[in-house]
Amino acid sequence: MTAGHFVVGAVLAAPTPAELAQAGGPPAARLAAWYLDSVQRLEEQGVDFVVIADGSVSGQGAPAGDGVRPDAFALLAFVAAQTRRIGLVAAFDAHLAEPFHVARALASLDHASGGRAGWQLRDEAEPTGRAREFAAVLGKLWQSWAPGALLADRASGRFLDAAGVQPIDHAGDWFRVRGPLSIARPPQGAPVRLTGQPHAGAIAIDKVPLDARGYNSHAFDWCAPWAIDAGSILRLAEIAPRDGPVDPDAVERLRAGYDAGALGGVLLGCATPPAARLRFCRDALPLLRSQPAHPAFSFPFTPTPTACPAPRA
Amino acid sequence: MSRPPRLILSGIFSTVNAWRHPALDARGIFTAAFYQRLAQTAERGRLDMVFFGDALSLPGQAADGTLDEHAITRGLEPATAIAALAGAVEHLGFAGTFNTSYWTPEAIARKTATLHLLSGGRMAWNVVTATIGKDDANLRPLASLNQQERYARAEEAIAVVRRLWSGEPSAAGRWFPAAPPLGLPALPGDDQPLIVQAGRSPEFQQQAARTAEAVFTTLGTLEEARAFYASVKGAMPGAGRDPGTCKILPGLRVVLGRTAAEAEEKALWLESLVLPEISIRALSASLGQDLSAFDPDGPLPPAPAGQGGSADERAWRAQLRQLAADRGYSILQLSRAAGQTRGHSGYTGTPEGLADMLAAWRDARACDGFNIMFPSLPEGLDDFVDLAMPVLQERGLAQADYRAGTLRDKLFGREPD
Repeated sequence: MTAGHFVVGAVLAAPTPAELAQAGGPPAARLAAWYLDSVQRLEEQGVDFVVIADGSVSGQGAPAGDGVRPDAFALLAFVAAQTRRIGLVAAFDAHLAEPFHVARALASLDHASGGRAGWQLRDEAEPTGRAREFAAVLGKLWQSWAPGALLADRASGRFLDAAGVQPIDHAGDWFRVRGPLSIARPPQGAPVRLTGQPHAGAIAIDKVPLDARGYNSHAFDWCAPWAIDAGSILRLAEIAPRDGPVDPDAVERLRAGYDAGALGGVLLGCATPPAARLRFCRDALPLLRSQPAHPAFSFPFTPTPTACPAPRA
Repeated sequence: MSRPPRLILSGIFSTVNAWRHPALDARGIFTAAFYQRLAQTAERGRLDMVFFGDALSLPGQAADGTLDEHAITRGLEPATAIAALAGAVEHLGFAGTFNTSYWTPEAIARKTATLHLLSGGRMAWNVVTATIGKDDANLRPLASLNQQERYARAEEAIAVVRRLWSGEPSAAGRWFPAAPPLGLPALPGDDQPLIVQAGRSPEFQQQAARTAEAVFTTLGTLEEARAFYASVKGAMPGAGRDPGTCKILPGLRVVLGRTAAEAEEKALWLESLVLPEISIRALSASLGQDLSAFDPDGPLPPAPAGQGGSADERAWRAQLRQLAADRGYSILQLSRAAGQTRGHSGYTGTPEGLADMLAAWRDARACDGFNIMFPSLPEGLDDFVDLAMPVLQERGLAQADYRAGTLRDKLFGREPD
């Protein structure tokens, strides 16, 4: 499916202490100022969602790996209060987290941001099954409140409809969680998943071959039916443009892939320098979006169980 | 003699009482705007900080999993709410609860340090250590311990978190494995979040004397408060601490009116918003005894034999039974009294009367301030700020403006760098 326009996501690598020092202002205010400024700029540039890795994740996704390591959930909630459209995706490792805490934090972020929360399990392919089970528990907890179960009805005194707020009674290899979630159903139903694997209702990221300038080097011959007919997967190609002029041939390949329905957009990976992000949004996006001023972005996915063929490499 | 110190005032935002109040859209508790409006009101009133308590299951859920439809849930979880407020107000401090039985010290250190950095140094960590059976059903507790071990473990957790805040790695200890540095800007001692602890028992008082920089506590009377205050402050020199470095803030539920009669009327009306079966169910949970089969207007039945529980739970049960005996309360009356204050002290009356009470507690060396429970939100907070604060400020009981600097600077009068 498509989101109605060519989607651009951006991974925001954490600033190094030296970059933070350049943010100016009193030292105590620099972390807030740096992230706020960075995400507000992405929003102004037309970026649809930003991905921030949690500080518990080793390596942090930064090319140098020496960026500061804040708590991504708190950071995104802070940024949510001072942005309006941009999607807010927390990336974290299942082996360092507990599903109840994460389900609640992401549901809170989804509420606080008016339905802009997303998530990515960085270790989703780990072999023990913990990540797979983690994701399943998140889904169950978010669904533990049925739509309409929040009543807040003064007259009857019923705050919720107990028939619609049910335990999940999950007992697996890694987690035992009774539920229900202790916060009402998130506005999106479930925050949007960013994944390297095909999951219904998710944004799927494909690492594609890159040319010397960090752009997609090949045309998109992905099987279009996977992107379109599955109905609930938005497929993005991860690129990492270097600084310098936009590569018109690569942009044309993106445009063709989008027009053919094979591709929903791109994810600007963490190796993309801020100046290159800006240049991509300024110079390439107008060519990729027929509607430059996009409507308020929401993750427009309805998680529906769909059998998806595996993506082709 | 020097001027008596002003009181520190904290407000509780995490418990929304009387949710059927016509001035509240209870769905708002899931929005950032609800908390932002409260925080702006609190800052207009020059409150020192606001407090987000927490637990990890639905408040209306019983141990067996059954759900009370009438109980309001918690709203945004503490870190999300505080993050949403950090940019909305400039001076207000934030106390958030993170339980060491369900969060690792590393996770707590990273979350609280991030919030501290995002808010320009206005964060306090409310250290909670107890496991709760129904929370255990959602998150495997990291340790299940007796009270003595629990306190020892909490003390180590605080030391680990402080070490991580300071930018250092933490070595393996009795309870926690070694942890690498957080990778965040270092927060040396004077720049760290405040350590807040909540409790009441004699064992808690000893721990607070060693580690707490602010204490939230439930004290029903001035006499109890004086004894508690003397105990904690008295134990601090033995722990190598100046008694001025821990602020004791008992909970105080405040219902205000322009006249005493108006306040009484409001209190009665607020009580009527809670359905009888709901308050009795809550009382049953507090007493560990099912009261639903008894006449609500009849007396409290005797306690079942062999009740366990923590020292704080036992103390609270004894306090409730004493209250019923002293006042001759029926089950319903006791449930309403308990639901209103949960053992905290309460005041119903005029702003001037409140000022008299607060001055009396301060002058009796019973506290350094209060953690205010509002009988409703936002109205109870609006009343407190609009009716009480001008009087408290006029009488030198509350600050008329904020000091510069971090929450620590503001509370302890340290001059900012």
